[in-house]
Amino acid sequence: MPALRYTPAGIPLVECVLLHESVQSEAGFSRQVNCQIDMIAAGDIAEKLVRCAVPVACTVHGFLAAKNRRNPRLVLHVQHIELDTTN
Amino acid sequence: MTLFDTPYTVQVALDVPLDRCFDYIAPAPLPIGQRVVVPFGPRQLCGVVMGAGSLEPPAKLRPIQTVLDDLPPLPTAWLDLVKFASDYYLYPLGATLFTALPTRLRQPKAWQAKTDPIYRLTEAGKLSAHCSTRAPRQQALLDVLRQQPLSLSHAKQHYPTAAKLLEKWRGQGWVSVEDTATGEIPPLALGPQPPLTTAQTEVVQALQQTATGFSVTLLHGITGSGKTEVYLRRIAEVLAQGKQVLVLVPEISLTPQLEARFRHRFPHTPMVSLHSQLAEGERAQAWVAAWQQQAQLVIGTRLAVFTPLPALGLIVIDEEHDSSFKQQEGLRYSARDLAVWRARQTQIPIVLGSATPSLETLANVQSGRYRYLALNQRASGAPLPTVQLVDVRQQPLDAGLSPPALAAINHRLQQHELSLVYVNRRGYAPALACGECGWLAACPCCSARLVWHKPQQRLRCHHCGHQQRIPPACPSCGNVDLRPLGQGTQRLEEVLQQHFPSARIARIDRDTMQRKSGWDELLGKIARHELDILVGTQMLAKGHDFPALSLVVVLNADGALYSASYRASETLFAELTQVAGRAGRANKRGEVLIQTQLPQDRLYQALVKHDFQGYTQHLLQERQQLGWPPYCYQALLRAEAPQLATALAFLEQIYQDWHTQGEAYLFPPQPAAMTRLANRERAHLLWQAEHRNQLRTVMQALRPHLAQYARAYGQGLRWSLEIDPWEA
Repeated sequence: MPALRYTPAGIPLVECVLLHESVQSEAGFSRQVNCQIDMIAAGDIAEKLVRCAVPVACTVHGFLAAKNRRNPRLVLHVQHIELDTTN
Repeated sequence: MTLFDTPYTVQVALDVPLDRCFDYIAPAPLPIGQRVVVPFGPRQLCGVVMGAGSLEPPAKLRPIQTVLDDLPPLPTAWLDLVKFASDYYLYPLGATLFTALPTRLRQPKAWQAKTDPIYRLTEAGKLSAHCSTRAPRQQALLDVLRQQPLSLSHAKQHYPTAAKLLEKWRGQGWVSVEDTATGEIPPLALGPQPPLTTAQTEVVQALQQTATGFSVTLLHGITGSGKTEVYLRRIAEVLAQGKQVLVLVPEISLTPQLEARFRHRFPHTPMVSLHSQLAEGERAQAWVAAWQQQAQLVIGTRLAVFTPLPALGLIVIDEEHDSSFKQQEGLRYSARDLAVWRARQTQIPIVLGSATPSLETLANVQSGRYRYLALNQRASGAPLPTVQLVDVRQQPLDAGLSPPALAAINHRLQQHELSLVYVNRRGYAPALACGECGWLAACPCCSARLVWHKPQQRLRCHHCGHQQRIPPACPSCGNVDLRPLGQGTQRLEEVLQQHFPSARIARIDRDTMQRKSGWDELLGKIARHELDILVGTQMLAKGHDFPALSLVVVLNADGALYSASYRASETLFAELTQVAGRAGRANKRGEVLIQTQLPQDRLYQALVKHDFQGYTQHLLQERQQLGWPPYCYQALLRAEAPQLATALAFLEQIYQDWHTQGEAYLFPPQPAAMTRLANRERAHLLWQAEHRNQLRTVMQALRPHLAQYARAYGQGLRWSLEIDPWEA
């Protein structure tokens, strides 16, 4: 798990990667989906996230934003996270 | 009191921003230079008598309240200096005079000298006084007392808590005390002197040839060449004749080190230091001591040029190129230029010393006005440091540090030698930015960015002092992930500590050196080899001598090469030559690494070759071709107002009326490079002329009208006139 860092104002921040696996239907066919996206969490969520042992299964709600002004790559900003502690 | 009883009127200079003196009725004829208390409107002010008033006093004249007889009238030579400064810088005489006086003597009340008792060893003391062998400094004080009586202030310079100790000794009957100084100057005694090198001997001999009469000598000695030792030898000769010496240095931080060295060399010579950090009482005391010839040696920063010295025999200006000799507010004088005038007036020699003389001074050497002496070798015999450029365009940087720089620091750590990382930026990062929308933290009062100070958790403006807390999210787009841009001393200190966890690192900048004791502590640690890496700003670049320092790494110096100021390359070259010169002054070969994105620039190439002559010649030719100072004379009229338009309108009106007047060229009004400062917006007018007289004629003609011009623009408009501006 990457370490927590702090913004100049002292807000904790963590950057990690969200892996995704599922089966979806497309043109009437069922297909396998694998992908990953950079993810960033700030504040309480960041502290919650660094405390768990990764990799961890979770359900994430958030919004997408460009990485920065020069890099349009999408980053998922976490607004809500539910850790799956069943396994 | 009737007019009939008091037929005398005098002209009095007052500390008011008006271009004139005021007539008052005097109880008796008063000498010029006499300090008096006079009523001025509802207030009481201290004033100085400048001459006789009108013969037939009009009835409305008010009488002088008190004649201050605490001190003799101010000396004529000193008043001449003040008059010259007022006339040359076109600044009101009263305001100039009160700038030159110490604060305590500006007040409408008598000055009370602090009593400074004299301690003398008694016969009993001569026989039996002793102290513990574990108190070598007490012993040292006793040794001095065995040779001569000491004033308390003088004793304190040998032993800080001398007052207590001397009283103890008095109780034991070892010393007796007298009330005041006898005014006798003890015969000159010399502390241990190192032998001179051949080059130093030649320079000392050459200086002896101009020992009498007025002369200006530039002593151009490379860093570590032992200029101070040359000054000390010349000063000893002048002191031996019973004359006074004035030594001007650029920085307060340099005075304790230099003072200690002078004290060591001239242990019995009464000496005072004068700088703006002295308490008001101490400053007045030192000033009066110099005037009364109770002090023979005066060391001080620019304001010390106004010290009255009736027996002045020599002036030395160390680091003559330094911009701190120029006062940047009020009476905008150059202490160096005034000192040269003073030397001419007094008909004595003046020595300007520097490793990087200013272009003005070099031009004066070329035209034959100043004499030139050089010290081209280091006194220790050590070679100049090797200077290497690190091209950072091709290097991965860690917080601004390149791999070769980190490797070099590591190598010095292994060798137990001291490294200096030089970055002329205090704070953690010079800017705080939002990577999403491009927002930059800016000062609300200035056209400047706010600097992040991490330990204080504040954003600060280095121009107006504004500070605020760090915004938790970007005020423009709401992003919380704000990032620091660039490196300040705090960030480098942090990163270096991460790289070298066991290294002992000290940060030296205006923030860490605020306390008076800061320097002493630091110098002590360096002397005891308790530090491995120094991270510092230009505070460290000047004059300091750290024998263990063998590596200098320079970061982020390129900025000055893009500057609009014509003086930027001269200043940068001098600054880097000076900071590079800190390396390898003792027996270790010094190494200097300069990180740059412009390794081909002429300035850096000259630094690698230690080619001061070549580069300054190039700069002088450039200035000559473009007709810039020192090949022209300039005057700058600054205006500031809440709105730029007001300042520009005021200047535009003067421009319209005056650009066809006289032989000086007047440029149209320009906003200042930093337009907004502390909620005021600034602009200026620049006059330029080939000859000083052309400039003087037009400025003298304009000066009396300026207040009238300004009146139309209301209270918000302020203006100031600067002759020979440092930057335009």
